[in-house]
Amino acid sequence: MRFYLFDKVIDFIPGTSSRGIKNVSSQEEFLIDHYEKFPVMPLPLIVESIAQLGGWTITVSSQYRYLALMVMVKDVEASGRACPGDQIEMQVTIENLNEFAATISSVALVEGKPILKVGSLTYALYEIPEADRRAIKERYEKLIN
Amino acid sequence: MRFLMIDRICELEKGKSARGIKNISWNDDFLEEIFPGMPVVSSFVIAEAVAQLLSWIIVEAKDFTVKPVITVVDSYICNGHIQPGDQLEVMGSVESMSEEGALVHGKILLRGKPVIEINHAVCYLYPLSELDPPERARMQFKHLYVPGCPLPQTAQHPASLMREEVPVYKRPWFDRITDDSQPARLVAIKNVTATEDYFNDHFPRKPILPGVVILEAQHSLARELVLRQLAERGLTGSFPVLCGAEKVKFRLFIQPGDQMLVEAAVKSFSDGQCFIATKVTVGGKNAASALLHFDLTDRASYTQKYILGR
Repeated sequence: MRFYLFDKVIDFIPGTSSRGIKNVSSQEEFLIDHYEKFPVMPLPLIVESIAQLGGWTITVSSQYRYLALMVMVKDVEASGRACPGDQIEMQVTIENLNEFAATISSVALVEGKPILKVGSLTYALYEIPEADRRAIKERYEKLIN
Repeated sequence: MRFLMIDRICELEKGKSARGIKNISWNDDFLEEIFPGMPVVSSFVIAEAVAQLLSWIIVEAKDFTVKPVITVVDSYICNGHIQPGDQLEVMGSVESMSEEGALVHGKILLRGKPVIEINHAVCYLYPLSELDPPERARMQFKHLYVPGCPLPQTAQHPASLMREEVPVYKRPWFDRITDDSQPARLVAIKNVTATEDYFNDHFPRKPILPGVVILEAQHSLARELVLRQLAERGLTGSFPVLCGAEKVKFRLFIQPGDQMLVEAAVKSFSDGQCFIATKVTVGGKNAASALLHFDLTDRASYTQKYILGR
């Protein structure tokens, strides 16, 4: 399995918020053991989807200056699930962004109904060496749709 | 698993034709079961071996500047049982090539007899550097091409029938049936997501859903439709076996984040065979279509026709 847990970004306001999509397919490897008779996307992986989209939002908002690494998650609340065929829409709001750290909050929805809320997710920021910024930019820009 | 479906190129006539090898192993991701306990390589996925061999002929002839992307296949025939342990001979020929496109044909032989035939496929030539770093493609080709390497022997070990101890566990290639209100028609969703392994190789710089995976989604839903039709008619001993496809067309690049709506409808249905028309749309746009041809057969006559008879 490739560890790219969001598929595309459908809406992006630099420094403020973003919305992204994760499609759940019946061919996903994590569904083989989770569970054979009842395929459902593991909730920690949805948190990872949110963390990846949040990281993307922060890196692009900082104009490819910082890479965001998750250090703390607070107030995770699940209220639904995502099964094969579902399209998860994740809404990320940047609560705080400075040169050392960033905090986001997020909600994941399926068919307009919340399935998971993250009250606060904090990242530590690492400066990307200038030589590497172009490659990251090329890869990240392709995700906006 | 990686999406490299050709293992070796043994002969190459520049820009014209090539012959190569594809080995089938138990570790292949693309095994399925038509009859319980009889694993077989997915009928459409194996066509990717021909597609990749043809792709290398064109890529090498055009000096690693373009890569072909399949758009239309006139006729596709499959009439063999390919299983783990088999060594396949893959043949490809380029009938004509211009700046924009190419007309190609291909074949797969098992023990010297054709099991897959692709006739009259049209591909469009796309800039290679947008899909794949050219130096990576050159390196791959260098490893693949072994001039003079012997092709698979025609007298290999015979097909095996005893494999019931290893079940193949596979989910369908579509995710959810959304409409079965009409008797001879099914509609389903197939989600396309970036976690799929084949996007590593297809392609490193631009993820595009492989045509054979689109076809496999159409095949999987069509099979479900035929199984329901058979149950309705009380023909529970028969199973659908794909034996070909016509008018295969790909019109759009499908990428992670897209949701495919797959539709299958019975075109004709008789005792021994049936035709299913399939269509794929993405966001309301027509993305692909094909007419699939199934043989309806029971286990005993399948074994006789496809395994023992060959």
